[in-house]
Amino acid sequence: MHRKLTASLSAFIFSLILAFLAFSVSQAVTDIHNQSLGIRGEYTRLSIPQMDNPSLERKQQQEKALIALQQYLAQEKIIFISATAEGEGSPSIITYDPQSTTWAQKVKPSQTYAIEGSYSQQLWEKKQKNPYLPPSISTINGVITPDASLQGEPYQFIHGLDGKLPPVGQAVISTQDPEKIQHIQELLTQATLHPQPLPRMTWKNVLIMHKEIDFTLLASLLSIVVCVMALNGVLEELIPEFVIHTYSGGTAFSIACKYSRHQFPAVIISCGAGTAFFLLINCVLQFAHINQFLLGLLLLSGLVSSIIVELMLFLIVFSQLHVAFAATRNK
Amino acid sequence: MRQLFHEIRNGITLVTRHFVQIITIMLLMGLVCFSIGMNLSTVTDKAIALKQSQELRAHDPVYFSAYYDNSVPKTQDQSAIHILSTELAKGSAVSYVNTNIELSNKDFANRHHVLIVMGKKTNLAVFGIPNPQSTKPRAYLGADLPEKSIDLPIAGYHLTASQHLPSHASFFSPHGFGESLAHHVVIVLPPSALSRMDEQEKTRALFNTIFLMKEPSHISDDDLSLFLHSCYSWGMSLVPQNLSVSLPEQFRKVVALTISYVVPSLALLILVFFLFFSLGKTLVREELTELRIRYFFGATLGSLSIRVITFLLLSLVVPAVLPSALLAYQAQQQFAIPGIIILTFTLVVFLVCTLTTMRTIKRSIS
Repeated sequence: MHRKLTASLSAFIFSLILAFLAFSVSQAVTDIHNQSLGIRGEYTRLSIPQMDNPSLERKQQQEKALIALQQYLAQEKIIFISATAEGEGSPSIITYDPQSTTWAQKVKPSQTYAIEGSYSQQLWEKKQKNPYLPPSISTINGVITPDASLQGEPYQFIHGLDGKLPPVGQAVISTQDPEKIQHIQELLTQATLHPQPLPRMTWKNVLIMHKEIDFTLLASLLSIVVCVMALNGVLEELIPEFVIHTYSGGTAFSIACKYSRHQFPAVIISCGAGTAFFLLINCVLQFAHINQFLLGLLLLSGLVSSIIVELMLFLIVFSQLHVAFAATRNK
Repeated sequence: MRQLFHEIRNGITLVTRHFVQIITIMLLMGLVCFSIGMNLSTVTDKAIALKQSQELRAHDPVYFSAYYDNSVPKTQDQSAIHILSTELAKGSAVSYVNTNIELSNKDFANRHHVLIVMGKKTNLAVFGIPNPQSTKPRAYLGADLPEKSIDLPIAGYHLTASQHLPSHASFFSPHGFGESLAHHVVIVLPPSALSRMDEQEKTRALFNTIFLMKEPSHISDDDLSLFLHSCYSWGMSLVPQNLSVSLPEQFRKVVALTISYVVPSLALLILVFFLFFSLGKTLVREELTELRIRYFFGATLGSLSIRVITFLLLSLVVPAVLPSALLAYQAQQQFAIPGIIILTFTLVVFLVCTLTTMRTIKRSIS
């Protein structure tokens, strides 16, 4: 009984660790997806720091440059979405969508919409004055639901790109053409803003930003090492029994195959239990939003862990039989 | 006695034979202790904040997250201050100032952290202060401050803090975690003092306002709107947030961030015990012949067990104690909890494993 338990225990633990690896990967993928702020296809991110109180003359220059930017975007059909970082500027999102393909297609330049579910929406419905709008913007045209990545934040209104409100914080433009990016950066610099392009997401960046992937990967590799060591010790006990099979014509390969096939149901059930345990923890603590992508990854992690554990069992028995055969031959 | 040393030496020889496994056990124990210690504290902090704010959350509190806009010309309309001080006096708001206090006076409160609390309901956010309902101006010293008394000239009052707070005194902020007041100077001021504070302190007080919406005399919608308009003239856009909704959501986010460290670490810990169990089995298998021979020549079961116990002690308890003690020595508070977890588990596993190993030896010998 306990011989079966050893393989099942390592399969359970290993699949649990792999389930957390799948969870952290799914979180990283959601994060990367959210960075586009709802733009599909290729995009570039710019960081625009907030500038100090501009003089009246500078303000006119800024307005002019921003209108030129909007005209350039319209001409090249580039989508522009910018959202302020918490703590700077105003709780606003600035958009311009000449392609009409994103959630922001309703917002035309100089129009302002309150965000669904925000305090501004309540004020707009009660026809009260909005305390967040700058003096240059007076009316709210309606209510809009932004992209999922912008919901749950304290943003209050969405403004169509024009000269009245400078885009501050993080901006996303729907192009990767270096010339166009250069031109947009120049126009923003003329508007007394100093944009910095943010690095594109490579594997290295993802691993640096999401350390939980690194950790769970390390933990799963270490758990393979520990499982091999522990199973090696436990399975050594069975070798004399296996050697008996060779008298009836069994080879090391066939015996190892037979053993791992014999263990297969226990391993796959415990891998399923490990993945189910992840879902159970989630039921109690509610930390992950279960979606199809995460479920797919969890299924994959369960399968992969059962395959790896089976492979471990096979290789350990196979190599130990070889060692035992070599020892008897020497005698 | 000589026999005992002989047995122990033999146990150590066994350890050197299984060196790789024991080093693995030690490294993994260290890793588990480190990763749990680094991550558990953020979760426990949030959990403490969640528990501290239970009474406050029952009052349906609204706090604000701020956006600072430098491009707006500041006019500093005083109506927000008037609204806040009337609400504080009515007991339907709590406000505090924890940074930017008396910036002009560098040696204020001997450069300790200062917390100013205002309002009739301060007992909801500050815990452990004597008669919290009173708004009489007064000041207290944190439990760990060495000074006997500190003079605090603030907002037209000349307060002297000479009474030390109890060591469990703490403070809840919706913008941060539950914080201990052991190293703080705490000042209680009446609502009317708000108008005599300087500009920075007023800005912080406005930002740190919590309105209690369950109170019968809670702030009216018009006043709230006026308050926000007035704050906009200070260069701040304050967005109201419902604490009862946002705090559990923050807790969920913190758990999602740290659970990928904590649960795999605990899983690795179980695997380490599994490795230890298999090590014990290997040992019995390898040593059984020798033990049996010695038993036939008159060795008692007790003297045989010394060798096995020495081996198990050196291969589990030492690798568990060493890294967790080292980490706990480096940063005491952080690694205390994971250290205790690991040590209790280790002790239980050690006892169980020793007992089963001894039983196997006894059975196979006799």
